[in-house]
Amino acid sequence: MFYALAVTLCLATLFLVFATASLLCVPAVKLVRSRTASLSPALAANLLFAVRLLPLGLASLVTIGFVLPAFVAFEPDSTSEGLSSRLAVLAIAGGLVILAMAARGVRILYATGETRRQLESQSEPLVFEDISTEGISVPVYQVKSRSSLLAVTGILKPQIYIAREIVERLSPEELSAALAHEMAHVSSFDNLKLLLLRITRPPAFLKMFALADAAWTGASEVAADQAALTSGATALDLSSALVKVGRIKGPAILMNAAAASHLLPPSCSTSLEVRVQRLQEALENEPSFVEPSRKSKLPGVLPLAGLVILAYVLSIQAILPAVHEVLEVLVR
Amino acid sequence: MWLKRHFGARRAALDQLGKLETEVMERIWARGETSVRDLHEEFTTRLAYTTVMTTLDRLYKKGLLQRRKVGKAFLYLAAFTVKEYQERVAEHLFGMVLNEGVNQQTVLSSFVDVVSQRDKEMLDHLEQLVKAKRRALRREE
Repeated sequence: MFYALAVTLCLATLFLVFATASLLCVPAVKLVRSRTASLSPALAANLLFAVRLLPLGLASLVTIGFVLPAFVAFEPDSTSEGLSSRLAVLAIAGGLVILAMAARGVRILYATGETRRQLESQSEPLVFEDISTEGISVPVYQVKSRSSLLAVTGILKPQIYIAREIVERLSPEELSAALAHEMAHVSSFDNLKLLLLRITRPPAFLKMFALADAAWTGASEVAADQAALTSGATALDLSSALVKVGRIKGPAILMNAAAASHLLPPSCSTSLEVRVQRLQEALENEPSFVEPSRKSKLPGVLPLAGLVILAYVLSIQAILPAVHEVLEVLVR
Repeated sequence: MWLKRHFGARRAALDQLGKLETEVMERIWARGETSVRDLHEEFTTRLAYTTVMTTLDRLYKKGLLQRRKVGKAFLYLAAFTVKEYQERVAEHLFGMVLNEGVNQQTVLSSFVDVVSQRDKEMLDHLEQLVKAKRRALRREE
């Protein structure tokens, strides 16, 4: 009974906090979306991602960090407390949320794996030394098909696939600029973020979250362009590569595989408009243009995380009795 | 009454606008508050006064315009900014994509088509910029 009650309480709490935080986060998502234009692209992308993942993060933190320790510390092993129907319903809802997320995760990873196998069967290495960024080594493959494919796929072992037609049409400088864009996606773990966003996709009636996901895609593309420019690619080569890739007709092979970041994602109008605007600024200022180095990560994340952990460790013993009291109310 | 106006506006803003209604909305966004007579002056060669008046009344009933009476005439003002209107349309489209069920694929396809046309225009613009930059570089050499 002890373990059954522990699992039920954890699932119920997870659902309660996740649902409440999701509803409360809607204004925050709206606020961040409306401010993205005034932020650096990397910061905008990171903020959108953080706000989108906040409900799940908060629910996990409360469940694992407070509810479980409070239950283990204060509930006697031989507890005779039964399950109320209210608690059971909440726990079932929590279980369904977890199952839905797990099913989505498996489906997306399977689709990504399938796509990769499909591509590998029709591709050959384009360069014989992997490109690397921040310690991550990325092989580049040329795919023998007519398509506009230029994307990085995979999460733990990213791989870049380029359609043969693109390799033939782009100059070495343009290809190098396009690869720099893809490497920027690798170094900012965009495929992992995309996977998490899709796994935690909220129900359809919370449309603001769907808009936030679209805004994140746009901001991450603009951020990858900016990173490519700071890494040495010229705006002229990157713009030219974008135009050439955009002009190639053909099926977007990786459209259904989640863990993939394209040079030119399908349905990308909003981001393309901002990208063109930024590239125009860069083109007008080249060659004297020097992109100011902006922090691509959220400022002060590590110190903040340290402070939160310290506060948690110092206060946990004082908080747990109160948490257990709340749990008792929930059980009754 | 207030509820009807408030929620009516939210709902109607998402309905499709006809060509003339869109044109009238664009003029009002550009002009700000305006009377039927003033707006009619812009259309005087091709539209009757009553057509402009009816169109404004229809947009008011759809909740896209607000109006107030000054003397015998009404002054009309847009109920949303262009940005707000576009956001509502975008939300509406996303809602259709996410909620349509059986027709989900169809809705998604047509939305992608609209977006693709915009992408093409953006790429055309970028190509012009690239060509201009190349010409400028050649001249410098």
